[in-house]
Amino acid sequence: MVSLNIKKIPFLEHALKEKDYASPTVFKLAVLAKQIASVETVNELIARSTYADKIEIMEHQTRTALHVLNNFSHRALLADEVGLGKTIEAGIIIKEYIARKLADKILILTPATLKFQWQEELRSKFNEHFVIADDPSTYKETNRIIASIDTAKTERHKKVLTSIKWDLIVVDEAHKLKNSTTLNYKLVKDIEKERCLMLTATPLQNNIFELWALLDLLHPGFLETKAKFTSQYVQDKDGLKVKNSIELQEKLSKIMIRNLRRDTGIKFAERHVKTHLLDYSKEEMDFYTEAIAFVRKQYEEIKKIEKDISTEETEELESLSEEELHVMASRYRQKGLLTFALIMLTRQITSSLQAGIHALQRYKETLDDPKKVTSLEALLLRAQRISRDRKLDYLTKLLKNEKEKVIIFTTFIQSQKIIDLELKMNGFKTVIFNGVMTPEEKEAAIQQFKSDAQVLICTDAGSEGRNLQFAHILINFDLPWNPMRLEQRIGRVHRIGQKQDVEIHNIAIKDTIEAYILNRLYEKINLFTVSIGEMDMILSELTTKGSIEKSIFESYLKNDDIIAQDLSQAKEKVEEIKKFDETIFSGMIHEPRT
Amino acid sequence: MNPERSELYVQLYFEEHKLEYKVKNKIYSIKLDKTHQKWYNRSNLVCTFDPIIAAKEKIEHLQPGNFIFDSMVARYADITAIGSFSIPVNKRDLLDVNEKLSELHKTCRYTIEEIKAKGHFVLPEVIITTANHKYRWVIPQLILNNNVISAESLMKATFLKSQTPINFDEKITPLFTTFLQKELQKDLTLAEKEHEQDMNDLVEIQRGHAENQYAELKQQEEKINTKIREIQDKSMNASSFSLRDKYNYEIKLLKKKGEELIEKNKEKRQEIKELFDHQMKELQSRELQSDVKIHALALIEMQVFTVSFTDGDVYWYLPSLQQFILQN
Repeated sequence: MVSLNIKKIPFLEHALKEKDYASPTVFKLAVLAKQIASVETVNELIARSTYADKIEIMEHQTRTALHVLNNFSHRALLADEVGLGKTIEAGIIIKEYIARKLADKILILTPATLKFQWQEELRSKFNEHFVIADDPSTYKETNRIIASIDTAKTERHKKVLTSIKWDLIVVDEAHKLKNSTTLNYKLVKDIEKERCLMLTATPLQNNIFELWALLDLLHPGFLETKAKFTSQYVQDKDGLKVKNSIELQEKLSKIMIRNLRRDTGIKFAERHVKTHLLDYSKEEMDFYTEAIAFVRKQYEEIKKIEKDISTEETEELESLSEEELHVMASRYRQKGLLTFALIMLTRQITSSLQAGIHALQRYKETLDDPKKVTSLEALLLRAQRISRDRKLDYLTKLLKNEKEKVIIFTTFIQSQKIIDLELKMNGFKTVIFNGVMTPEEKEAAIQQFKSDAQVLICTDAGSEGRNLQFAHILINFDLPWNPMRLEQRIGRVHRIGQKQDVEIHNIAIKDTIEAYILNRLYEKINLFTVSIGEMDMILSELTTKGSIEKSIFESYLKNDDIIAQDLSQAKEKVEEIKKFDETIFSGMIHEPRT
Repeated sequence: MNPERSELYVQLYFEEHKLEYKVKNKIYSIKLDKTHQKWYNRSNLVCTFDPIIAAKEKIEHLQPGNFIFDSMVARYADITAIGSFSIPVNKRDLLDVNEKLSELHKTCRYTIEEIKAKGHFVLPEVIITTANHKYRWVIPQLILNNNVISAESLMKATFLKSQTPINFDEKITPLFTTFLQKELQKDLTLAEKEHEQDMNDLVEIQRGHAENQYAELKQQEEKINTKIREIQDKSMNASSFSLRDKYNYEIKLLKKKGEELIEKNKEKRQEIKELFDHQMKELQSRELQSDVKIHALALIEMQVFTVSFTDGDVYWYLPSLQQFILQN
C-alpha cells in the first residue's frame, strides 16, 4: 500500500523555534478552517471567497466549473456558445486549481487582441495578477503568465516555453488550432503540460474533422485516428453529416462542455440602434473634402513603396491604445509602413475637429517635402477657422432631455477632452475614462459614474474588460472601423446582467467615411444586432487578409464594395455554421463520468 | 459538509473579531464593524446554518459556497498555527466518568484517579495524487501517552493559553502516520487501484492510438502494392503489346508513388513515435504521490481520569473528548 511521507513545513518549524504561539481562538479557527476548506470531492467552489467583491457568477458557469473539476481532470474543451462567459468559467477553474494547490505555474495563450482583456478580467474579477510575456525570460521568472500565441510561437519564445513543465495551460480561441500544420498547433502540442483547458465558441467552423483535430490535440487518441473516427461517425466525405450522433455526443461529453444560450435560461437584453446622420456645415465639408483629397494623394504615392503589414502586426495594432498607436505609427513610418499613419489621420479628422487639427499637426511633423508642408498648413488654417463642431453641437442637443446615465465612446483622447469640456459647459456632470489613467483613477471614475455623474466619456483602450451594465445608453461619437471594436464597446453594457434593453446611438456625418462604414458595411450585415460575440466569428470568416481597417480605407478611397461583400458572405457562412453546430451539439448532456 | 463544525467556526470568528451577535430560533443577528460592513456591503448580518430556515426567511445560509462564509474561512485557511493550551477542569467531569463507565461493560472492581496529562494535538493533511485525481483528508489527532486518538470534537472544548513550551518530539510522527495509514487504509488502497487502472487506461489509449496510426500508414502502402499486383496481372494477360506497355507504365508510376509514400511515411512514423514518447513521458510524471503536511500543532494539558480495573485493564477517560482509551 502507498506509504505516507511527512512533508516538513518551514513555517511550522520556524514558529516552534520562535515560540510564536497562537491564541486559543485563532488556533481553533486555523484548525477548523483547514478542515472546512479541504473537501474531498468538489461540491463547492472553495476559492469563491477570494474573488473580487460582487462578481456575479451565473449558475451554468458554476455548474461547468464543477463539472470540469470533477470529471475532466486534466484536459477539457470549454465550448460554450458566445456570450455565456467562458473566460469567467476558465477563471473559476483556474482559481480552484490554485486554491487546491493543483496548479501554480499557469500559462494562458490568447490572440494578441485579447491579452489585455484576459489580464484585466482575471485581475478585476478574480484578484489574480497575470503578467504579459513580452520577453521570454518572463516564462521562467513568473508563475502566472499571459502570452499572445503569435509571440509565443516565435523560436525565441518557444524555446523557453517548451523547456518548462506547466501545471496548467489555457488556450483561448482554440478553434484557431484546427490545422495541424500551423506553428500555433505545434506550439501547443510541444508544451509540456499537466493540465490543459481549451476555450472556443466555435468548435465547428467548417466540418467535423476540425473538431476531431482540435480534440486530438487536446487529448491525443481520445477520438481515435481520423480514419476510425470518420468510419464511426461521419457520413460524407466533406464532414458535414454525422452518424451515430448520440454515441458521438456521449463521447464528446467526456471531454468537452457546450452550454447553449437557450438552455441557460438567461434573458439577454435587446439592442435598439439609432443612427444620427448629420450634415456638415459648408466650412466643415470643405475642410473634410480637402483633407480627404490630401489623404488620397498621399496614399497613392506611398502605396507604391510600402511593404505589406503582417497579420501578427495587425492583431497587435488592434489591441493598442491611442497613445500606443502613435508610438507604433512612428515606428511603422521608420519601417516604411505608411498607410497606417494615414488611416490614423483620417480617423481623427472624422472623429472631431479638435482631434483632426491635432492629427494634422502631428502628421505635418513627419513630412519632408516643403510643398506638402505648405498645403497641410493651409488645411490646418482652414480647420482652425471653423467655428463650430457639428457633431459636438448635436451631441449636446441629444443629451438635453436625457435623464438616464449615458456612456459616450470615442477612439481619441483629443475628442474625449473636447466632448468633456463642451458637456461641462452645458451643465452636464461628466467623468472621463481612458487608457492613460492609473487603475486607481479608473476605479474612482467608475465609482463617480455609478454614484453622481450622468455621463461617462470613454476611449476604447480605457474601457477594455470593464463591465458597465448599470448603464444602458451608449453613444458612439465616432465609429471604430474594426467591427470587433464596436462589438467590444457594445459589450461593455450589453452583457449578462443587463436588465434593460440597450440603446445605441451612432453619430456620423453624411458623405464621410463614417457614413460609408455605417451604410455600406455595418448596416448591410445588421452588425448592431448580431448576437453577443458573434462578430468574432464573422471576422474570422473574412477572406480579405490583413488589417480590416486598411481594407475599409482602400475600399472607401477606391469607392468599391469588396470589403462589404466579404463581410456579407462571412455573415452567411456563420449562419450555415450555426445550423451545422446545432445538429452536432443540440441536446448534448453532461453526465458525470463514473 | 458538517454544519456543526461550520457553526462553531463562525461563532469563534465572531468572538475573535469582537462582533456581537444574538441567536434566536437558530437565526443569528450580527452587528458588523466597519471593516466587515465594507466587505459584505451591509451593516447587519442575519444568517443561519439551517437550510430550511434560510430558504423560508430568505436570509444568508452560512455554509461552504456561501460568499460570506467562504470569506470568513479564507481568512484562516492558510494559517499554520502552533499553540500551548490547557483545558480547564470541569466539576461535571467526575460525574461523567461514572456515568459512562457502563459503556465498558466491565463487571470487576475499579479505582478512579485524577491525573494531569500532556498530549500533542496534530492536524495533518494527507494528500494523495493519482493519475487523474487528487484526494485530501484532514484528520485531527491527539497523541497522548503513546496512543493516537481521533480528536474531531476537541475544538469544542475550552482552551486556555498555557506557558508550557512545546517540545515536538520527532518520535511521535511514526505514531500518527501509522494511525493515518490505518484510518485511511480503505481509501489509500482504492486510490492506489484507481491510479493503476487510470494509468493503464491512459497508456492503452496512447498505445492504441499510435498502433492505429501505424496500421493506417501500412494500409496506405499495402493499397499501392495491391494495385500494382492487380495491374501486373492485367499486364500478363494483355491482348496487345501497346496495352502491356501502358500497364507497365502505370506500374512504374505506382512503384514511384509507393517509394515516395514509404519515404513520407517514414517521417510520419517518426512523428507518431515522438508524440507517443512525449505522451508517455508526460504520463510517467503522473506518479502516485502521497504527502502529509502538518498544519497545526499544540501541546494540550488536560485532566484525565485513570480507571484501573482489578483484571489489570487500565483506561484513561478524556473528559474533553468524552472517550475512554485502553492503555497498553
